Amino acid sequence: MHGQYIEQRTMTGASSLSWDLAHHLFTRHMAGKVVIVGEKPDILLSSLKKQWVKLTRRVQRERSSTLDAPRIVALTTMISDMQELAFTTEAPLDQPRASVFIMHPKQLDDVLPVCRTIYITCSVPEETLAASITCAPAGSLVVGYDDAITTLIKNTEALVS
Amino acid sequence: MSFHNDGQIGHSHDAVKAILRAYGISEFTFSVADSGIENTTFIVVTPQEQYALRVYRHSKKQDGEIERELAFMDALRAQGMPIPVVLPNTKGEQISIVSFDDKTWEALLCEYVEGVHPTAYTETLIGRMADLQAQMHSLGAAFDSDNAPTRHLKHLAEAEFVKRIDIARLRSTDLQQLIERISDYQISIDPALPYGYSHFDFDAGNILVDARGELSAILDFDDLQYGPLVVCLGYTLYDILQETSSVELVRAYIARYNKTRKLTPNELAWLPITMLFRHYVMVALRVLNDRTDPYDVQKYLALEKQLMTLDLSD
Repeated sequence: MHGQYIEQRTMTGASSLSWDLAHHLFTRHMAGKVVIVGEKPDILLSSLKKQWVKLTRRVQRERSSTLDAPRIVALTTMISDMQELAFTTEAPLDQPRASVFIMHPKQLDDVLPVCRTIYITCSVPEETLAASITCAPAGSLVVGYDDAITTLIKNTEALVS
Repeated sequence: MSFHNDGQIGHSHDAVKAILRAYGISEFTFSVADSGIENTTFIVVTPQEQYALRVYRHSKKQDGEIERELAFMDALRAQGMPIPVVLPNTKGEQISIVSFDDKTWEALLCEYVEGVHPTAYTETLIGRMADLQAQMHSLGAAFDSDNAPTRHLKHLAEAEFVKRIDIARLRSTDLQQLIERISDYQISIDPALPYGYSHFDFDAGNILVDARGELSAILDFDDLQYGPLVVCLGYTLYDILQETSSVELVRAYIARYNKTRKLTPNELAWLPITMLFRHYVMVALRVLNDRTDPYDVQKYLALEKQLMTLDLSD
């Protein structure tokens, strides 16, 4: 690895993958571009966008209930940033302005954007994963869902180091 | 897609004649000075005098609201502020209620004041406006304070124009998102802010300057309401910023305003919020009137960004 961080997420029955992704993305979207690797990008895109809109509404509700002026200003900027976050399942070269790329493992062989966060939600061939992680700059975060994927990420760490 | 001024009186000679009958005026010529959202103003010329005749949008106001508007204007005038005198009709009443075209219209006949709307915000004009607005706010905080209405401005939310915009028809994704932000911008106003009656539309479009450049009249108290005074100030500062793009002029205005009425730190913190709200209202109105070309959209977005990060603290 080249200074990337690894985080393991474990799904519980109470929340869906898209719910968890949206809430995690909330803490990461300002860091830079994001790649999410999933088995069914189109379905994931749809459910993730829905969760993102719900999250944005929550921030809007918080804004409308606070009377603290600096907080209102901060939340207004946050809402604007959240609303402008562009999700896509297209290749980075086709959608250079997008911020969140939802990709099938096979697409990882294409040119990847310089991303600060990679979410792995399905199995990915070790070599492909290693190549993808190597592209991410130092300080990036690789998030693996479920133990097997995190183990794979750690094996890949050994592979590339 | 456009916004029509629903409920405005027609600009016909018969319409003006019907209203002027209440003042015993039969011989006149007229021109339309302004036909805004809330009222229509005619300049009426008789062989003896000139007047400004304002006719309110049909069913817009209740009599009590216009009476309060007139009382507030009287209070300001009594303190030496340049407010045109409202003239009585033949019954001795300031508000004329006239039937025309199967509708009832409320009208005021005002003295004509020489002057034109300023074409630019100069430092001199800004200084005078700031003095007058601060004075108006000091008076407005005390005006009728024993009968402060229980229904007053408690939220900032654009509900008038944005609902009429067909977002799906807008070509620009950026503009669609902006309209969504406008639609979602709902702010609860801090009740601890100083409240009072004020103009809430005090900008270059509602003042006159004479040939010497002196501010000769404050017009159109149609938006008079009881609300946080900082909101009224924010609306004015928004207009200055969008016309001049000068944050320095905005700061100069605040500094001058503070000499007559000192803003609290909380009011200062609320100014950018109210200015952004005013921007959203004006953008919604412009989009409704088809001001949606890419140049306009870029201007809307740039000003929005500027207002989101505007820091007016000392």
